[in-house]
Amino acid sequence: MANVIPSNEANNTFSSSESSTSSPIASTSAEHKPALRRNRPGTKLEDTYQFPHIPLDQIDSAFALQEYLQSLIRTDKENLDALVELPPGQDKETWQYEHLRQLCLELNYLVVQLEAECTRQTCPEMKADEWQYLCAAHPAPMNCCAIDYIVHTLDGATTLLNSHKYFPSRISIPETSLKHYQSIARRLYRIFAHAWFHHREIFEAFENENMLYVRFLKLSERYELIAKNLLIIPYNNISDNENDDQVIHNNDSSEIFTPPTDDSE
Amino acid sequence: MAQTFGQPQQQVQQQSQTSEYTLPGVLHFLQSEWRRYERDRNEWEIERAEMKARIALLEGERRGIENMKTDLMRRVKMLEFALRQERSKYLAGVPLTQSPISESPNVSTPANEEGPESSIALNNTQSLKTSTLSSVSSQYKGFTSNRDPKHRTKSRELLKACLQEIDYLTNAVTNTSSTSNRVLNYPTGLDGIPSHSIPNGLDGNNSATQKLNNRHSAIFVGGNTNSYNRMSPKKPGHVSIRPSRPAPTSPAIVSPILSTNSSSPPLDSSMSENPDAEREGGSFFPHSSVKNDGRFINGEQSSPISPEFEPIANMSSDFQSSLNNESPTINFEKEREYLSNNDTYNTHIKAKNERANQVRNRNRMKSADEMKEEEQQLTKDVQKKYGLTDEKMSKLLKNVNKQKSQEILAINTSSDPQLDELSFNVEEEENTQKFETDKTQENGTDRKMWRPRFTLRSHLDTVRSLSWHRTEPMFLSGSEDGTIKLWDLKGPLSHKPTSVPDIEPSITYRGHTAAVNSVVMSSEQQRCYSASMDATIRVWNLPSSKCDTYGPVDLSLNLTTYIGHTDAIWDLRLFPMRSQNTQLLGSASADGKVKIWDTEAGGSPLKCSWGYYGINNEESVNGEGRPPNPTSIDFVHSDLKKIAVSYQNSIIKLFDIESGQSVLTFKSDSTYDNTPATQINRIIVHPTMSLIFSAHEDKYIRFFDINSGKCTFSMLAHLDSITSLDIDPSGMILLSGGHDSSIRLWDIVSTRQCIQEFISHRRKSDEGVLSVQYHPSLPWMASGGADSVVKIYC
Repeated sequence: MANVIPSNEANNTFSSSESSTSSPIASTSAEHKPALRRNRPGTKLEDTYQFPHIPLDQIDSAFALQEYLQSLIRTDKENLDALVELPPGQDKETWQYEHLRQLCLELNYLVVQLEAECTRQTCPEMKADEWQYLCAAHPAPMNCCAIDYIVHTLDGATTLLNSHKYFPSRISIPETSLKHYQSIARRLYRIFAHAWFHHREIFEAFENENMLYVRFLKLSERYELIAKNLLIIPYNNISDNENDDQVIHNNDSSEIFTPPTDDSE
Repeated sequence: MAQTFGQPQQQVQQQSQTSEYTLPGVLHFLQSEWRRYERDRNEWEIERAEMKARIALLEGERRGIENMKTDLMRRVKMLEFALRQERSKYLAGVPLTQSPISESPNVSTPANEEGPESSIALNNTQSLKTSTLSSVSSQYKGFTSNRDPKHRTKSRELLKACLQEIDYLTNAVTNTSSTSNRVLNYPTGLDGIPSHSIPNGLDGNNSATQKLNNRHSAIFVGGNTNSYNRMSPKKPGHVSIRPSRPAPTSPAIVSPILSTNSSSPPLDSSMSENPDAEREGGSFFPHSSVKNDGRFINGEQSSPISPEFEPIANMSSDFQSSLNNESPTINFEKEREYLSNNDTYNTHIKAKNERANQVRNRNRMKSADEMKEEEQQLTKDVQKKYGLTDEKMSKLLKNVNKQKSQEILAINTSSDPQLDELSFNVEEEENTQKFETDKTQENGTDRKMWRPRFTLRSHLDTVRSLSWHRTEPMFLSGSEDGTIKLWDLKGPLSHKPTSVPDIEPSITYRGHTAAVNSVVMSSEQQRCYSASMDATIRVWNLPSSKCDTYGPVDLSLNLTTYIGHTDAIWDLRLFPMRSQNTQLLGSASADGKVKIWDTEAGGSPLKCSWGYYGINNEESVNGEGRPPNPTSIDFVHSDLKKIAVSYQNSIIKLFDIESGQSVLTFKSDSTYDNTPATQINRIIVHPTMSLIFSAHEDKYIRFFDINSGKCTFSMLAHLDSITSLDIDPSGMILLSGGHDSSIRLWDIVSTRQCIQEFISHRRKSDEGVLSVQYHPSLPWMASGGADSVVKIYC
C-alpha cells in the first residue's frame, strides 16, 4: 500500500469525499484487490470475514460505524473498553445505536441456543431470579412464556431499531428517539437475566464464545442505559470486575414485577 | 348484362311454352347459367384486383407526395427562418440611417424596433438568400444595391444554390456522419460554436439542419456585430429582455423533445442578441428533428396535414402583407402580444407602428409587382424542384390562405408569425405525444419499467438471499444476521403506496448459528429451506395461515436440519419439478461438494454427493492441491437429469444428478486468473432455452450453450462484481445485481442490451446488491443488499 500511485490516491480521496458510488473504481485497481471486504460464494467458513481491520476514517461507506464495530468484534472481542469506547469524532448516539443493533443481531444466536431448552413447558413465565416480566410487545402487556417473551422482545427491538420513523438515518439520531435506547436495553437485559438464572449452561457457553453479555454490560454502564438496581445478574460472577454490586437480592417482597413504563409500543 | 341475361329467360319461356321440361335440358340450362355466372364473377374479380392494384399504386404515389411535401415544408421553413434572420439583420442596420424610432425611451421592448426594420427586410428577400450562403459581410456592404434588379437575379441564383444545399443536407439521412462532418467543416469561420452531439445518432439529417442553422445564426451574429455597435444604447435593454421572451412559448413545449437534442442552450447563448433566430432555434429545430425521427427514419408517412401548411402560410402571408401595404411589423407585435398579453404595451406598439409605416414608406420595398414576381419565381423554383403539380401547389396555397384568413379574423391583422408558432406548438405537442406513445409502446407493452414500491427493513445485516412464493405476494429473505424472515405483502399492498407504514416480517426463523447464505421457498410443500455458513440446511414449515408476528413461538415450524456438509453452504436450488413423492434439493458448499437431497424421503435425505471431479474420481486427479469449491448450482430445465455447477476457478460443469458423473465442462474460464477475483458468483439456467448465464466476479455476464458448452456471448455488465442473476418468468429478460449497487435488466432474446438500470442499495464493506429475484407469477421483483434492506419493485 506504500507504493500507491498519486493518481490512485487522488481517486481514493475523491471517493471518500463522495459517497460509495465511486468506490468501484478504486476497488478495482490493483492496489486495492487484497483489501476487498466481501465474502464471495464458495469461500470456506474459516476464510470468511478475513478482512483487515481498518481505521474508521478509512471506511468509505454509509455503514462505516457498523463495519467498524463488527471489525472490532471480529479482531478482539475481549477488549471491552476498546469495543465500547466512543470512536473519536463520532456521535455518542449513533455509536450506541450501532451497538444495540449488533446486540440484537448476536442475541439471535443466543435465542437459537435457548430455544432448545427453554420451552413453554419448562419456562411458562418470563422470570429471572424471582422477578417476573410481562411482555410489552402486545397492545396490553401479556404474561407470555419465557421463550415468547424473548422472541417478542427481540423482534420488537429489531423492528424499533429498523423503524424508519424513529431511526430514519444511521448518521444522526433524532433527539426524540433517544429515549428508546433505555427501554430497548432494559428489556434485552432481561433475556440475559433469564438465561443466567434458568439456563446457566447455555448462558455460559454462549458467553464464553461471544462475550456478548459483558460487552452489553460495559455498554450500558458507559452510557447509563440501565439503572443499576435493575442489573440483577450478580456482577462478580461474570468477569474479572471487582464486585461493586451486592449480589444478594431480597426478592421475597417483589414477586411480580410489572414494569409500568414498558407497556406501550 | 341485361341483354345476355334476358336471352336464357326467353329460351326458358320458349321451352316452357313448348312444355318440354326434360331433366337433361333443365340441367344443361342450369349448367350453362352457372358457367356464365362464374365467368362474370371471374371478370369482376379481375376487375377488382385491377382496382386494388390501382389503389395501391395511388396510395404509394400519395405517400411519396406526402413525403415530398414534408420535405418541402421543412425547406420552406428553413427559408423562412433565413428570411426572418435577414429581416432582423436588416432591422439592425436600417434604424440607424433611417429612423429615430428606436430612440424612444419606452422601447422597453424590441418589438417596435424590429417592426419597421423587418418590414424592410421582408421586401429584400435577396438578403435572405445571401445570408443562406455565407457571404454575409459582402452582402452587408452591398446593402444599398439591394434594390438593384441585377442583384436580385443574382440573389435568386444564390437562393437556388441554397435550395440545393438544403436538399443535399436533408436528403442525407442515411450517410449521417459524413453529412454532419461536412457541414461542420463548412468554412464559416464560426466553427467554434459547439457542435451538438445527437445522442441517438440516427438523424444526420437533423444534425445537418442544426449545423446549417447554427451557421446561419452564427453568420448573423458575426455580420451584425458592427451594426449592433452602431446601434443606439437601446440595444442592451433589448438584449436583456429577449432571452426571457421565448420561455413561455416554444421552449416550454419543446424542451421535452429537445432533451435529446441539446441544441437549444448553445443556440440561445450564441444568439442571445438575435431574438428571432433564437425563437426559431427553439421552435424550428425540435420540430424538424422530431419529424425526422418519426417520419423519415421510421418510414411513417402519414402526417397531420394542416400544420404542414403553416410555414407556407407564414411566408406567403408575409408577402401578401407587403402587398397589402399593411404593416408587417404587426407580425412581431402580435407575437409579442401573444407572449406578453400586455395591453398598454400593445397600444404603445401601435403608436410605434405608425411611425414605422412612415419609415417604411420611404424605402417601400420595391413595388408590389416585384414582390409578386419574386414570389412566383420562388414557387416555381420550389415546384420544379419537388415536382409538385400546379394544382397541388395552388391547393397548398389555398389551404394556406384559408387558414391565414381565419387567423386574420381572429387576430384582425393581415398575418402573423404567431400562426406558425401556434402550429409549431400544436405539432410539437402532437409529436411529444407520439414520442411518448412510441416510448410506451417500446417499453410498456412487453417490458415494464420497474419502480421501487416497498423498502423492507428488519434485517440487521446484509441480506444475501431471497425467494418468492410461487403464487402469493410472499417471500423469504435470508441474511448474514443468521435469520430468515418471511414477508407477506398482502397487508401492505392494501395501503396506498404513499402511506405504507413500516412493514414487519410475519415470522422470523431463528435456527442457524451463522450467516444465512441462501433460501428457497417450496410453495407446493408449504416449506422453505435455508442454507447457512454453519454448514447446515434447515427446513422450515410455512406458518399455517395468518400468523401473528407476536404470536406464540411455534417450534414445530422448525422441521428438520440436513447435516452433511462440512463447510459453509453457498447455494441452494430446488428441483424445478416436484413429483408425488420426491422433491429434490441441491446444495453447493465450500467443502467442495455438491449434494442432492430428497426432501420427501424418509430416513436419510441425502441422495447424492460429489466433488469437482465427479462422484468417484476424487483421488484420480489429485495432482495440484485442493480442488475448487462450487459457488453456485442450477438444475437444467431442458434436461432434468442434469445440474450445472459453477466453481471458484470460473469453470461451469454439468453433472448427471443420478450418477454424479461430470458430463460436460464449459469453456467458461476465459478471464480466470487463478484468484477468486475472477470467479463465477452465480449461474442460472434459462427456463426454456438451452442457455446458462453466469455472473462473474470480474464484472462479466456470459451466455453459454448448454449442449455445446461454448460461450455464445460475453459482456461487461456492471461496474463491479456481479452477484446475482434471475430470469423473468417470460424468459425474455435477464436481471442482474452487482456490488456496484446497481440492478440491471438485459434483453436476452434480441438486442442483449441493457433495458433498465437503477441503483438501489447502499454498499456495506465492498458489497452492494446480493440478491435479485423475479416473482414467478406476479409482476414483482425483489432485491436484497448489503445495507440490510429488501426492496420490492413493481
